Amino acid sequence: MLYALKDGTKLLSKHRMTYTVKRFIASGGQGEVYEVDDKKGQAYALKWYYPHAATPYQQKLIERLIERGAPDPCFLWPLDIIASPQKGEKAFGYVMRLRTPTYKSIVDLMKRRAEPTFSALCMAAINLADGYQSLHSQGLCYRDISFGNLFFNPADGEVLICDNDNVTVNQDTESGTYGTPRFMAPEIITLNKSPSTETDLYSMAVLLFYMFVLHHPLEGAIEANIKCFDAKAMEKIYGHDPIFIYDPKNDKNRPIPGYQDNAIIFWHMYPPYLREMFTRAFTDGLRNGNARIVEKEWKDAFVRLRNSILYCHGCGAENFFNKKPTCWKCRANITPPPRLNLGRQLLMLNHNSAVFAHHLHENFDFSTRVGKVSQHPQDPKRWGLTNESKDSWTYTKTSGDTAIIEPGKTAPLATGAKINFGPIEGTIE
Amino acid sequence: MSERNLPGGEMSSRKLDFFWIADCSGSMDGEKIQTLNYAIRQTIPDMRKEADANPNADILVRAVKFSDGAAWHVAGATPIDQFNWTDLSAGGVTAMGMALELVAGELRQLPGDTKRLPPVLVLLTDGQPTDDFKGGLDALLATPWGKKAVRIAIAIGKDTDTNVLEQFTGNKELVLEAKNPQLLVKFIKWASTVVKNVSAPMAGADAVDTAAIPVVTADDDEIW
Repeated sequence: MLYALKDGTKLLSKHRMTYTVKRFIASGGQGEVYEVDDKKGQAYALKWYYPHAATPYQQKLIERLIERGAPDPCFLWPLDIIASPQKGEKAFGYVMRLRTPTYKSIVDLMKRRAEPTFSALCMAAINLADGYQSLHSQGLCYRDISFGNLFFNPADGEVLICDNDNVTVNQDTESGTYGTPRFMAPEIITLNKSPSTETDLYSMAVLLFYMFVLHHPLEGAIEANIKCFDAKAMEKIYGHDPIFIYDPKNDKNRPIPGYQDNAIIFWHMYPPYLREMFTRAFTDGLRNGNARIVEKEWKDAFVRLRNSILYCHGCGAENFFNKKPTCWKCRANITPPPRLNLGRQLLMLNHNSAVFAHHLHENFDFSTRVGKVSQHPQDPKRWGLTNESKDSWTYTKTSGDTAIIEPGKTAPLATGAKINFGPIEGTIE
Repeated sequence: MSERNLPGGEMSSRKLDFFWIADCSGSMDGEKIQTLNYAIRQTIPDMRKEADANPNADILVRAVKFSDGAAWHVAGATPIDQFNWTDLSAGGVTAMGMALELVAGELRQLPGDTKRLPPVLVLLTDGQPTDDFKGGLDALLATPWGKKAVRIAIAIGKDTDTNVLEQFTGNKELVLEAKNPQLLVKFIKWASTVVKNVSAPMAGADAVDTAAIPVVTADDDEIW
């Protein structure tokens, strides 16, 4: 009685497919989501709009999105549309791929129910920036980047972008979607501007800050001093008077120990270039849409961060490379592992490090592995880089002697030695 | 969670106090009180899911019942994952003022140094107050938290004094007239989701998205 569709209901789609309602999954502001099966038993998700949201505008939007197709496989894009089987009822819904339970929400990360490694978190950031970049490069605007619509696999950082039913062409002013509080760009709140690619970039920066700092970039002393955080207070903090918690020119809004600890703990762990990027995103980028960080810059930064991960010998925790790393977890001083200097990239050669196609071609391909760090089978104290590619590498010892590392063979990690991978040469440091 | 891969803790959040304020006077006896019991129990799983998906609010639930007097039905702030509903029964008059007084007392006692979201008060009634309603409302609005609270009234049946309820909500749109059991269930379900609006209100809009209030459809026509 509480749900719009009963289990077992058969629905006929616009593409003349029959779907059977299996179960109710969740409800949101615009409608309810169900699991449905097609005739072959393949499971999909069905979003069914509440009457107030089932507008002709929304229907047209969905139809256009279906026609256009997903910009990238990470989008759970509308695939098919279903009108209400009840005569005279204007209700409708759309079918999309079903998200599997291995994917967790950003809320799970905030509540510490999902505990990815920094390495997986970096991959998630690269993947999400990549996804939004594909969307934006097609002239589309997401309008509502926030907690609820990004899911990630904590094991490997694969992402899924959901709730794509509000995606419009950039600069569309007809849509009623203005975004989610805390993620909306200040100009949407203060000047009633419509969401655009520029405001998407702001929301994406907020989402990335949440993912890496587990805190909002504008919630500092000012928020902490407000007892009752009502709509008016939120408009001030996120709209009319936003101040970045680590604004180098304004220290009025620093996070408060004991209440906003995550901000303090995480911020100081990250290398200067990442802090500088977040600072730009939430100082110049707060008011000037043109000054916002674009997806490519975020991708480069999170690749750099991922390359710099090293492990504490004592407790195994992930840390980031610097001249004298101290473990955040057990406070031990860490001796950095050997590193592969590729000129524009510096990759830590940990026990589990791998060289990907991206390291050679800078194409963000982290699925094609070309090499991995391995131990000598007879002498585990000797480490090397095994060639997993189809091409031979040229290894140059410090003496100047060279050797060919054929596929399957391993180059020893000797300081000062060089490996020529073909497209690029790296030096072991 | 066994091993922590990342430093820090859970994201900081604020407490949100949610109050059910239920009329248990004699006229509620029978279908009305049973529908109310059924509907509130049905909303609990949805509220838990909502709380799970909301990192900004820690939802604490309380419930007040009123008839000849007012008393706590669920005393003490109860986290939503521990909240259970025990059926109410009806009998007596409508001491609505005393109920508001009781809520006011609770809001006055909230620790002064805590950071919270505005409370949500949901009043469910089918009649007219038989005590000093104005006194109770004044006491409520005199507390800083009561004044900031999002106040929703659900009028059950056709004999309610909507004038009184409008004074309580301060907003005509937040007086929901449940003319039949189906609507009562829908309104109770909707009221329980207001938490989301309060923890993340839309800019420029009222704290509550009245557009999402369920509308009467043809199958809702049946009268109590």
